Amino acid sequence: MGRTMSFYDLRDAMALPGCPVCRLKANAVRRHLDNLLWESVNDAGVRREIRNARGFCQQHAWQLIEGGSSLGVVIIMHDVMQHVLQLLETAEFQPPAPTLRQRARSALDPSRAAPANAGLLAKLRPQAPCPVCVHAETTERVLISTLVQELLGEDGLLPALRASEGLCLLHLRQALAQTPNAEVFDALVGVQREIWRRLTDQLAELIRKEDYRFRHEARGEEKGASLRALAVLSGPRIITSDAG
Amino acid sequence: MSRHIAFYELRDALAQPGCSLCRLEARVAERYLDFLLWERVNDPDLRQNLRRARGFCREHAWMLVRPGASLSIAVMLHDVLQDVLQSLNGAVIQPTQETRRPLERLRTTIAPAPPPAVADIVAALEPQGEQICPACAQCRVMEEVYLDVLLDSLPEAGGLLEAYQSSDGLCLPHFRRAVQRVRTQRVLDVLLHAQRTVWERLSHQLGEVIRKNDYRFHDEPWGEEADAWLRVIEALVGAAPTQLEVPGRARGEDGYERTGR
Repeated sequence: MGRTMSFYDLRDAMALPGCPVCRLKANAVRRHLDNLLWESVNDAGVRREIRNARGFCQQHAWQLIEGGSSLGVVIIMHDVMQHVLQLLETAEFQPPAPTLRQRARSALDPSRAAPANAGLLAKLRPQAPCPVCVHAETTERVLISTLVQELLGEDGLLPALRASEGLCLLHLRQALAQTPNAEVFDALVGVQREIWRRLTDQLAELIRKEDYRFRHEARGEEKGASLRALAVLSGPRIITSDAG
Repeated sequence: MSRHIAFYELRDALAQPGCSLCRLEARVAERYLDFLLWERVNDPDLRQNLRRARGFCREHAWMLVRPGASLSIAVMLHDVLQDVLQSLNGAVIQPTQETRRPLERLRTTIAPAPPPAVADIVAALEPQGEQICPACAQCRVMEEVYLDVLLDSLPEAGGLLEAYQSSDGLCLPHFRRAVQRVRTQRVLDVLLHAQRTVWERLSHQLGEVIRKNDYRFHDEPWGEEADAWLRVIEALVGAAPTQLEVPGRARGEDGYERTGR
């Protein structure tokens, strides 16, 4: 059967700590930022996308500093800043124009007053999503699609997934949304339940060994369970270098 | 004139590098999480909110990590994970109809959504209702307080205008939220003027960075524009996530980064 690069990337990532999709997505983001800073700074289309997005999202904007090209960052951000300053030049005050419902709501709760200056706000808001987020989400969709399609069958990904730390909650939701049939669904939910039961047991063990009666017991595989649980529920730490 | 404590906190924050609201929010988050870890782990309301939110957001989740916190984190997240596992227990894929109505096919082509077969389980795994990360909720409350105090104080005699003009101003996300709360022409004019002054100064410094990277001017010494590339990122998107190490910046006592300039 013809395999895509994503299949092998997923299989390799499952042998490493953490959610394999998170890891591969982070790698894709780093490559994209690197390419942006060294190849695309003066690309008119790219620059227009970035201006429309009012820059990048918080995470990806700060990840730019890892790229080693401060000049590239400055050129891009200077462009966005100039654009924002131009928007402020024509700014005019606009009082809030609440609907009847909003007036009632703000009468009951003044902290929920209708927003003012709707026109200026609309211009200052991103007119398009963060371009790096778009690329990351595309990568993510491809990976999830590959995962569910190649989960079962001969040499499928199921054994590797079972031996891994599993998907994080976000990527499990996305994978479930793409499951094509009951067989894949049951396999995915089954393996994920196993992995998370194991993690829950480790958390329970960690809690038990904090009891003074059991404090003398040596730590086992429950070591680091708090951090693994954080990654499962909230996403990984931002990885800023190629993790082995 | 009696002042709200937030006035003095804003005044002090405006004297520090970066967006003052980002700085104050980071402090709010840090204090909240510290208090939570040591005083509220077994609070039933908090635990229920946390279960419904399916844990913390990414930023605040990793801010929890500090010496001595593993037990508190384990207790809270064990609870959340148990709840998630219960959602998975008994999860079944609903049988799908072989032929789907044309309108439904069109709808899922335009706006992809989980197919009905798995929509229930996907929804059960998402944050429930409007529940958000508890730390985010706390930050939002305080953000509104700080913004209102800032906007009220800007045009006043002895207010915050001078401090604002000599600061790094607000970042763009906080500036948008400030604009949203302005209720008079006068305050908007003062705010816009002050923020434009700050950003024009920054824009000029960025121009200097670009100019000095030209080989003809490469030997000119660097001035205040040296770290403009970091300040413009903060100006456009807010302070760096706490997980990221930023060159030339060290973490302060309140958890916020201080520039080493």
